[in-house]
Amino acid sequence: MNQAAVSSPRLDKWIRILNVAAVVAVFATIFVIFFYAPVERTMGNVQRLFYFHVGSAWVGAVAFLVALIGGVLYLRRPSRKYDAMAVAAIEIGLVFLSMAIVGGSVWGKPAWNTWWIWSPRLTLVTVAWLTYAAYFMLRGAIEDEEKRGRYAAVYAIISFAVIILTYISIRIFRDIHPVVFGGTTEAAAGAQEGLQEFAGVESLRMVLSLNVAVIAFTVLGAAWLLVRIRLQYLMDYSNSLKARAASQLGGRPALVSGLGLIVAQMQMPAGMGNPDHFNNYLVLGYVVMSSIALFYVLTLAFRQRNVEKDISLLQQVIDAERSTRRS
Amino acid sequence: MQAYLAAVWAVVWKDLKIEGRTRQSISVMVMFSLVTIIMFNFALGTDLDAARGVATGLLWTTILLAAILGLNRSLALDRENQVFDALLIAPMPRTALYLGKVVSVTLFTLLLEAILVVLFTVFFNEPFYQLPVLLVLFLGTIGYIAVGVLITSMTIQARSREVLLPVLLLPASLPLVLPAAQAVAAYVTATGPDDPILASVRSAIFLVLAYDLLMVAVGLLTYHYVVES
Repeated sequence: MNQAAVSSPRLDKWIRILNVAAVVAVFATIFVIFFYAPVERTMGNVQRLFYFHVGSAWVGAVAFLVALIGGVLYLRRPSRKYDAMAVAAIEIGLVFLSMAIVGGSVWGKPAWNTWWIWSPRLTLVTVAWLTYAAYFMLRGAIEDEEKRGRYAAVYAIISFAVIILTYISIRIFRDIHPVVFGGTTEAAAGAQEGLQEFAGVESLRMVLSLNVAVIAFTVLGAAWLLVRIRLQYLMDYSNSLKARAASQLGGRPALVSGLGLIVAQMQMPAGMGNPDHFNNYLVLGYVVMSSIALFYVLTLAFRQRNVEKDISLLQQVIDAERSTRRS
Repeated sequence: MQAYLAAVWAVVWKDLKIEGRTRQSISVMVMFSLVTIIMFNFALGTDLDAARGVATGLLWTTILLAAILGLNRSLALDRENQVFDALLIAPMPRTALYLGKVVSVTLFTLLLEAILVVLFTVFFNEPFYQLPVLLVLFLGTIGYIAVGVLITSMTIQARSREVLLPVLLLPASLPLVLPAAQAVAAYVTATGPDDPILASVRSAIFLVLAYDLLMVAVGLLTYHYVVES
């Protein structure tokens, strides 16, 4: 493994571009959500959670598809690139899915009067979350690098099959058993309290806002994906350094794309037009979603810094070893 | 085709023979199930009606957990004395090896289920012995063991193998348990062949079949990536 394999200038360039684009897009989305999007008729302002919620769920779903593709490509032609792609995709997919779940749960409280209900969709995301979280357990337990890549790829394929089957099964049971599993239970829980379920997008401005949010989250997801892939390369490199000598490398922390979300958190109270008593749920939803994103970005930055430290330390060790041998 | 089936049968026969001589997998699975059922009976108290309500779910949970023991046992046995290396050298396709393992572990689990059906009928006083229930159990087991053999082949080579398997396998079994438990519950509680509750059974069985087909297909396609070393 040489230096070029670890820090490719092209990857660095794309990360820089996407980081900037993600910050701009997230800012734009926050602006759109709080100043452009209309107030929903039945729920009021708390419905503004919808845009981040759908955005992150969408990126989560796409990320798992990327992981499936990475897994299949890896099995066809084993390459570190595809393995890194699959790991990165599943990790950021889990983070986005967690954001969607937690944000949705906070929205569920005012809308359905319950934080959690075993409705079809919530069952699906729970299964997805459990299945993909187990992916990292499997990776952690296999030591041989080549074998780990293969097993992880096979497991990514199994997981995707599980998700598809879960989706089909809950769809069918939803149709047949509306009372047991059904969508009506969600609405019924809220209706008892005089609340109504969100009926769907109801105006062009909502559709536009939703599209902006989805695009912004896609860009953010792509930025994170590349940052995580680079981190994976660095980790592999650090591991290989432990065995043999190598040269220096480059790479910058991934903090930038998180900044948008920090500001998202501070921006929020400013945008409320006509407040109603669900606004604290709106704030809570955005705070927890942003915190998850922020926490993840910080972990990424810390991990990258630590790996870089490891690498430079290992390099010193190797250099020292070499010079003593020479003298 | 003849040779292929012969290879599958050879693997199955090997496992059956070992089991016939040691009787270790089956006895552990049965004992585990028995203990679980009795524990649950105590945990649920003396209220038989409450216990009946959860009997179907309990039946499936017990099968899933006991099958994990069987899977671990069966594949760990192959790792001893380089049996598995010999199997890999043997002149047969990898898929035959996979199918052979699936068939043999499925047979063990079916035997366990036969015992469980009797036990559940006795303990919960519900007609678990009906033919449709047995059919659903049979179909569900195939899919579960198909994905189970694939995942166990991976976890068995990991450091913490016994711990890892349930974490990976149980979430994967969820889309199976959902319709399968539904179908069994419908048959057990149905008062007659015209009971409206049976209307949902057809799509449930269709889902179990879809699970079987998809998981066997994934297993056949990816198994050789798992065993190659």
